[in-house]
Amino acid sequence: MNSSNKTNILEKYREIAESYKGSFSYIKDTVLITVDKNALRDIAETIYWKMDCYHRTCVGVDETPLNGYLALYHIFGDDKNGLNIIVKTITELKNPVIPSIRDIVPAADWCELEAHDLLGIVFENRDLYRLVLPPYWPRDIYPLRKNIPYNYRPEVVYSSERISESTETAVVPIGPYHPALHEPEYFELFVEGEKIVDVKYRGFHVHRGIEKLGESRTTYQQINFLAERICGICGFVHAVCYSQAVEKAANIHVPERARFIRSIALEIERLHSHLLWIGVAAHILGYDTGFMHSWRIRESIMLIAELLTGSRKTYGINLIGGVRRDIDENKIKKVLETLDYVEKDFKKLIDIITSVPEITRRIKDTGVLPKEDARKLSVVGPVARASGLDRDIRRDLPYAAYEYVDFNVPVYDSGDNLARFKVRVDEVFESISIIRQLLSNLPKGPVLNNEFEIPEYKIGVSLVEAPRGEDVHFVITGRGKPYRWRVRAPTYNNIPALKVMLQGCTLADAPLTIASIDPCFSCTDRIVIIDEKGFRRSILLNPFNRKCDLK
Amino acid sequence: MFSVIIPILVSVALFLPTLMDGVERKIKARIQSRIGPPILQSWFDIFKLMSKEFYIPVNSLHTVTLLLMYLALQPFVLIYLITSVIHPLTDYDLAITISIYIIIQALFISIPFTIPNPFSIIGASREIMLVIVNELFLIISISLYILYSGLTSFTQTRIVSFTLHTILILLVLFINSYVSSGRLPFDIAEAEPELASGLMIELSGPLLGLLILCLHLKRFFVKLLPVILLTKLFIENNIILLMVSIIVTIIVWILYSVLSAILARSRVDLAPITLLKIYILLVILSVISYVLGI
Repeated sequence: MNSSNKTNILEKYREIAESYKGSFSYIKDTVLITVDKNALRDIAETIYWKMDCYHRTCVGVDETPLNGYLALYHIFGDDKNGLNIIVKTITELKNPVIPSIRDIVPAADWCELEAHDLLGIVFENRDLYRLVLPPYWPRDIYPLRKNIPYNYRPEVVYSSERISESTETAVVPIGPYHPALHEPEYFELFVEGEKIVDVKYRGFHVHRGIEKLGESRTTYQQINFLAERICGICGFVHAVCYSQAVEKAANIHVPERARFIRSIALEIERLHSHLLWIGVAAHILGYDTGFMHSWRIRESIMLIAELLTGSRKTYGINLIGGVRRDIDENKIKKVLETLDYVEKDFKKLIDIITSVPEITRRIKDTGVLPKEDARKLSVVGPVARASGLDRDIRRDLPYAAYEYVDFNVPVYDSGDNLARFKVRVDEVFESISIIRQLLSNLPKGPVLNNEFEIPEYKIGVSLVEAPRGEDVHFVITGRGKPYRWRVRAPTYNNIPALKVMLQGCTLADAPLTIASIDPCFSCTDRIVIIDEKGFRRSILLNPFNRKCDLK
Repeated sequence: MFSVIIPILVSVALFLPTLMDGVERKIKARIQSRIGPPILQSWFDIFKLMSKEFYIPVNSLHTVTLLLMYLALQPFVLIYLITSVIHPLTDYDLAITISIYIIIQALFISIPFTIPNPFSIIGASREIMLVIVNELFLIISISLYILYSGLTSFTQTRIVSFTLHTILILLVLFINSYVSSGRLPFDIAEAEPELASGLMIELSGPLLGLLILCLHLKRFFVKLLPVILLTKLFIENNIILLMVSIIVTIIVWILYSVLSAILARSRVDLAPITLLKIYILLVILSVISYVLGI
């Protein structure tokens, strides 16, 4: 976008802010509009529908130590103009009511519920129910409020949630433990014969309060490693996304070489994730030969990751200010050779997989997500691109070294499982091309900037295109650690779309359809596990998982 | 001589299927670039299951009753087939064998309906859809085979003529045996990803071990039967016929293993219809060629 266009679009947002009697400020790619809560619904409608923005997430913040209010930040994405639009509104602690925008912006459904669960913000004109917290958690304890310590342990009486009953349809429970799910989540499929007529979802079984931990017990640099443990597949995405948010908030320079290395590692992560997914999809369709060979090819990518970062997974090379491991010429040569082999082998595998008649028959026209629903729910990543939404953060809001590479963003219109399969297959080839370009043009210089200071109470919003879609980290800086750190994984925006995708689908296609969003429930729930028996001092993450201590 | 050969061949027929399952796992592993488990792994699995505690699923006494009947009848039909190939038991052994097999199939699909679990019941309804098509054409094709060959018993000393209509009907029987063996793409009743083993979901320990053993026997039986009918085209001596048939069955098992490794799972609304179309086509062609004397 050229500078005159950017000035025009910023002027437009200023006018919108002023028309709702709000304040307007702008730093880099982020616009901050503060409005009275009574104007929230109108401005949300204007930004989401008239300005054609997506809804990234909303963040509840306890600002009572600062100004006596609870705040809510709705983050919209103007991808076409490369902007994040933050709409902030505040409410009194005594009567923390904010109008809901769920009916205008369906994508805001979950984040409102989460703000209600964790901060006690009451949203008007909508049904409120527990999304994140378990049913037995005390009603008046809001874990993300600043007066609740991170290790607070309420006395609770355990209770279970019951399976739904229906006289008209049969209920098929999928989860929390089921072969189709590799993580503990729960779907209730209401079926007539084999046809699914409705779906109920209950997740967040493994929520461990990682945001509270980040705000309480860790330093800025430690959170890089904590963030990387959010996910076993796209952990580096979270680490980079977090550090970029802090770098943006504190205006920290990152050396160019470090940005290249970050992009290379991110693309390696995308390659192994997509190869993993293609294998899992083949397995769900009963084609275990495809599964095994996809994972065999993926093994080469894991070796590349080990070569470049020292680890097959959870690379641990990212820091605020850059990376802590460099790449030399020998490694570049080996990586390029391996990529040649991977590209050739993967092409052969895809030709074979797509020639299996049952696979082509079962992925075509199943799990359809129409473009309108995809837009309404602000779905992200391959799910969005398979439903005709041309959005990719690497191109729309370039970060790391993506501005230096050429790549195509595959977009398909059919919105079915086949389209999502094709998007990921195309992205494997694009990622290989991106890594080649980055390795060939790797600039010389340092890989880490240690000279920086992080001022307090600055906002940073960072986006990274994870294999599953855009990952969002929101940071308000604090003293030595973030005042507020919010993580929104791509699956968080994609799961609500499953209701649309599964309705009308057959039961046999449900596992593939659920898998087609490449769900990462640990990302969504923000799990972290730390070995308490290690030699380091143990960190008590949260009382939720410690039965004996709750008494 | 029969008193020696029959027990030997029966023992082989009871031991071989689980061994062949191990071979199948090994073959699949090689196709998938894996080492795979030892060939005896399927036997080890069954021994392990047999050593587990005996557990009856909740409210499932009917299940156990039906299951025990199934567990008794499945080996019986295999033993009956082997014995009747060597030594005639009745003049209608072929028809009796098929009748017992159909009864066993009906018994088998009724078991999961007695288990109060949605996955089990869905698995059973899928199996019924498949069985209706498959068993119907098993009866039709066996009837046509009897019509074409005049054979009602395995021991009748007659070599069946090598004609197109016989070949087509044997093709139906081999497809039928592949489907009955519950391999991909026809394992829709178990369908691990959505039904978590479907009709077997509530079974564990010795009950599951015995059921798996009987499923191996079933796989062997459904292959052996069309192989015997095929071998009848070439061999007159019944003992040689049976021994050759067992060897050919091993080869067929290997071929089926390879085939199942390169296919994916079908769906309940696709598999029976596809099968029906193939069966109808082959049966019609067979009847036409019979009428035309080809």
